[in-house]
Amino acid sequence: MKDWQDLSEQLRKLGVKLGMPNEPHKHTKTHYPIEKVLNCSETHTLAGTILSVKQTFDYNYAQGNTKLAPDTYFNRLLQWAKIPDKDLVSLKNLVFLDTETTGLSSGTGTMAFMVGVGKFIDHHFLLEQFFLRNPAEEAAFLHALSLFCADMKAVVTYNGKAFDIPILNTRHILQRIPSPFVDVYHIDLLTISRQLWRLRLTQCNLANIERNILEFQRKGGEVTGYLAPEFYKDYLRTGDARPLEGVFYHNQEDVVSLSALFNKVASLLENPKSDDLKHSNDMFSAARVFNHLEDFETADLLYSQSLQSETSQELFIKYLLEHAQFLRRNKAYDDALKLWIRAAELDNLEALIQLAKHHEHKSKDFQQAQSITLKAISIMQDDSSFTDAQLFALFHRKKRLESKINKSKEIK
Amino acid sequence: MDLSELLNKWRQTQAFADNVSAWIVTPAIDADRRPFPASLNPNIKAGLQSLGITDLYSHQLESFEALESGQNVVISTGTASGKTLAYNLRILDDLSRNPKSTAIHLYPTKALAQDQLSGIQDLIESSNLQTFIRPAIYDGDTPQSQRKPIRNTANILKTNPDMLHQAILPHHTNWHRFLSNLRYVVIDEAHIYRGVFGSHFANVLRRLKRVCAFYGAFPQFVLTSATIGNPQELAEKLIESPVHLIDKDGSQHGEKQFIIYNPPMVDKQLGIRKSALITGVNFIKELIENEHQTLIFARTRRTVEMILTYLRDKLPIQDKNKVRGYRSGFLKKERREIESDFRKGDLKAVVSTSALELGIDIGDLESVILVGYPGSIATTKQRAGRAGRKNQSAMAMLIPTPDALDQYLARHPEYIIDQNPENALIDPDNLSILTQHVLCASFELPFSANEPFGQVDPYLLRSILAFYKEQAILNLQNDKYYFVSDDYPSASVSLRSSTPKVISLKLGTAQNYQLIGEIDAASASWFVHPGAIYLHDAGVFEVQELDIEKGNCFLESVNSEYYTIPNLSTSIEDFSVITQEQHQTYSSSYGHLSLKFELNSYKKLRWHTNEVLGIEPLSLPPGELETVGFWMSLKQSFIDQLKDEGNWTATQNIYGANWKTIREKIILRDANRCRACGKTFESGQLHVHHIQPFKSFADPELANRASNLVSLCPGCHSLAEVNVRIRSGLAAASNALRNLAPLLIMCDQEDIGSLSEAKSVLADGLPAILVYDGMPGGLGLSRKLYEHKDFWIASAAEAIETCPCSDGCPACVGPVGELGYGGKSEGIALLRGLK
Repeated sequence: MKDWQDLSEQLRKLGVKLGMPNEPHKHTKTHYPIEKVLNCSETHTLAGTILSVKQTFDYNYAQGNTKLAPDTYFNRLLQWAKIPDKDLVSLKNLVFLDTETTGLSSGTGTMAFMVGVGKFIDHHFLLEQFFLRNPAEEAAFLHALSLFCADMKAVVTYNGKAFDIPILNTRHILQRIPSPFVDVYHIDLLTISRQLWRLRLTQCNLANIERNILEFQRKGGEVTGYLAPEFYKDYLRTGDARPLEGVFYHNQEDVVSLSALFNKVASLLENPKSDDLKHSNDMFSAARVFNHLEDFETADLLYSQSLQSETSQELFIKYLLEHAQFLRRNKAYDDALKLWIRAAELDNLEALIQLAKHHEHKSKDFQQAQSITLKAISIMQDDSSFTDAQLFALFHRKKRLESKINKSKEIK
Repeated sequence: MDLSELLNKWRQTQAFADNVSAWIVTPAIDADRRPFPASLNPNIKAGLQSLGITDLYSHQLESFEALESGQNVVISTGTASGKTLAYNLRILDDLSRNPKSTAIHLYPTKALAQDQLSGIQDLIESSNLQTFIRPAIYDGDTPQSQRKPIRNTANILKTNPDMLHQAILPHHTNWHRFLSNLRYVVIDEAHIYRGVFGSHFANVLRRLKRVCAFYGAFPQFVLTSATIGNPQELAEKLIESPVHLIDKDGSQHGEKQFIIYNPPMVDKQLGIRKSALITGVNFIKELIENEHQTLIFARTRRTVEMILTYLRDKLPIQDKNKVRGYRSGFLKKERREIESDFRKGDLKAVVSTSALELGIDIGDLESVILVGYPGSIATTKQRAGRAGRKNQSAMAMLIPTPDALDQYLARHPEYIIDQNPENALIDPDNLSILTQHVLCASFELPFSANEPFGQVDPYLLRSILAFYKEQAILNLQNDKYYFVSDDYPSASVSLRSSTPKVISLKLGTAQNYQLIGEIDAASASWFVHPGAIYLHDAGVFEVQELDIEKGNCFLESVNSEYYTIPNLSTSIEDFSVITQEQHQTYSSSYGHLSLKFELNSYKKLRWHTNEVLGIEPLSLPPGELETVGFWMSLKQSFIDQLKDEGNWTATQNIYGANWKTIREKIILRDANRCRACGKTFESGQLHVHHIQPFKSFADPELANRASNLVSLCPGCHSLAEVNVRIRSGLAAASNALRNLAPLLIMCDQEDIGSLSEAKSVLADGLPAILVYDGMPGGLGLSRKLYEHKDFWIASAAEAIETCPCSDGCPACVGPVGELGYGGKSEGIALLRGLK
């Protein structure tokens, strides 16, 4: 032991950053293994045995307000995820996945020490949490994960495109084991959740979505994701697995919520008139998603609905303008015009400009165009958030309209 | 006049000839041409021919053959000798047959990678090999959208060590296609990798080789180097494998003249010479008038600006825009423009800092002028080597400044001409650097218990791993050390310094400022302590506030009549001897040191005259340095001998009109007692002594302030003055030694520190002179000095002796009168007495 102590003294003098300065370490290991904390199953692989915690949930089990298994098809969600062979992917071959890692940065030095995976099998939702008792078990850990994923056609995650899957792929390369995630479809619910709820919820992390969309409250004792690396590091040092119970609980709820959220999103996209779209922001967001999915009928309906519900004037104008733009693109110019008029009544500059354009080029009512332009100029001059260029464009229009008015007078 | 006529004219001018320290003519050399190797891919042969290349220089063929036979290679031939083709030929040949194979080209700067890409693309296109060979640049400027396609398809990657260290290696699984097939690693401009940067880089290469081995790849290495003393040794230290040296330059050269011209003396008494800058400008003007394109190297950005200003003043209006500056701070586009205008001949002169020296192609040059010695022989040769044309003659001129080292070289031109260029030193096992990279490597792949890391002593490696294990950063399971920390270690390791932290220099206040530059935290308190006058890009600033913790320094633009120099007090906290030798008059030791630095005051000095205008107190937290050093401890007998030999009598100073009154006041204050022995005397018997010598002050009032004066009896006074002499001799010797050290070991002035103490713990209370490595852990610089001490000491003594000044000047013994006397004779006596 003396060698490293001399060295650490030397390194301290050299100014090398130390992980835990001057903290005496507990060398007495508590040795409280995970088997004593939780009811564990064993998976035997070529590379050794790995422990996991297994739980099953009934199809009708609800996480908050939402059941785990969808009653309907989920073609729209597959369409959204750009999965071409929709027939290939069914409820039975989805794998819901969430990892807990030793670090929050990507890169080869970050390991997944726990992978929670869920799938629908024999009228149950089976959740299995594989656990790395120590880093040397990683090969067995990855083999066990592959066994669980044997029939997988698509993996469902929350922020897994950027985090969980790249890390797992890296781990497979490092262990020289083929990754089961390379040739399967990937449905990342973070992106769609953001599209659907960002206007209402400022943060779209899973915890917030769970509270507000699934209306689910977790019980106490949970260890949240960003603390998990420290807990695992402590476990490796002390051998005491008891504090990890909270990490298992956190991971378990993440996977279960993921499945419920999948159902929530899938149902919403299949049946947008459902009760789930009570909030005008949500209707508006959903309208955008349907627009994106090229279901213009539903999009139009949702845009109209969002305009009928209570909301702030700022958002109301935003909806008006976006809906108008949508209508114009879909060749419903007269309908768009009606919305611009409504927004212009609220002194919205963009709408005023659109109306001025309309009167100048379409209805050829130059007087009307001019009075709208003058109104726009007076609004813009009182507001410093506009650029000179925008103002100049309006002056330019004003001048052009003047000459058009004069010309038409001459003709008369 | 053509160049040789102009040179002849100069040679025949008496005033010119009198000041020439050296004039060396290197005769023209014919090229040693060889046919293309028979095995070369015919496409490449045709491609080269279409570019007008019909054969190879001997060193290009040698490189091709050595690489073909599987050896690592270092190519150290002259500027513009076709080094790039020398290594690319074999790589392109191999990749054209095995398009799955990959090569990585490492350049020390981003600009160089850009420069080299177009060159290699021309050859690939004219060889019609675009489908086989796909080069790409991957650096901080590469857009995110291009990164993945590059990772998936490129087979020649042009990047830099920082990118390899922070982006590629920690994410090597994204690169497994590229790394699994890696056949060649090219390290361009390898001479740049010395000192701290080189020691870091050697560890990055250890990591690269380790990751490659994981993927089953064992690449060959090709290095190129400018003229240095030890290209092969440096290459072998960097890659830790045998390297085949190619240094027989087969390219063609015209006649070359190298002149050292020392500006004429204008005041012999004071040893003042005409300014190197003005002297240079006159030559440049004459060269331009005679239509000779000239490249000028200056040492600082400030000098570049000054030369430009003077030069433009002297040139006729139509030529004013034909001279340009070139330095860091210019936009990339501007630089490209200057390079190409210079190549085309549209520009007549370019004045540059070191920014232009790194392999940037500006074509063949007729003349190069170096204003000031660039700091090393190797750099001098590299810069002078810029002048050189295939068929015609070329000229390079070095104009020394009044600085110590410059003047020494003006008197000893043989250093530059005969001596081998300096050796580039690195120490990949520097503990501070090594431990950081062991952690980075652990992040990349877990270490096995008996896995090596380069040639690191296995015992040391195990200790470092055990250390990190105890820190709970690594976890040991089944003989493997797994990285289990929530950290990304390479993010906090900067290759370019051993202390990664930087201080932002901000002009203005915290609320409203403009960022004008950066300085590393280690030197911040030295250069930008509160109240310091800081020069930046020809601007003068005063430091308002320095916050090292937050990394901020706030400056204000000022018009100052003075500059500042901090008073650094260095103390030795602890030391332990590694080796020691006893000599007749001294003992020499090499060992570990703990140093403490305190800046407790700074001096304000008037520009040009260097008078002391005032001394201001400072309170800054002390700095620490753990390093290695070499010290000489003087023996008591030697001190006595020096004291005896000094037939010293005090020269009477004129202390000012009211000295009599001041003197009486001080004696009254001290109650007629000698402040040293405490005995009481008659007031007429007592002397009043200046603690800091009178001579060192411009203002007598400052010298005669009460706090600088003490009453001493004649006996104690004489003792005090002898001690002052010993101290000034020590300071003079130490200064001369330190000034010459960079000549012996290729390093920057800042890489070594020195200290002289009259009563040193290193010498049991006797005087000692110490030099130490300036970076934590040391890099073996002072070790080298220890090994060559006799030569070093003799050179230092000679430097003082041959200086034309009468009682010591800044060019030989350093700041004059700091401790009393010029110190010239004392310094010589001390150095000559070291036996």
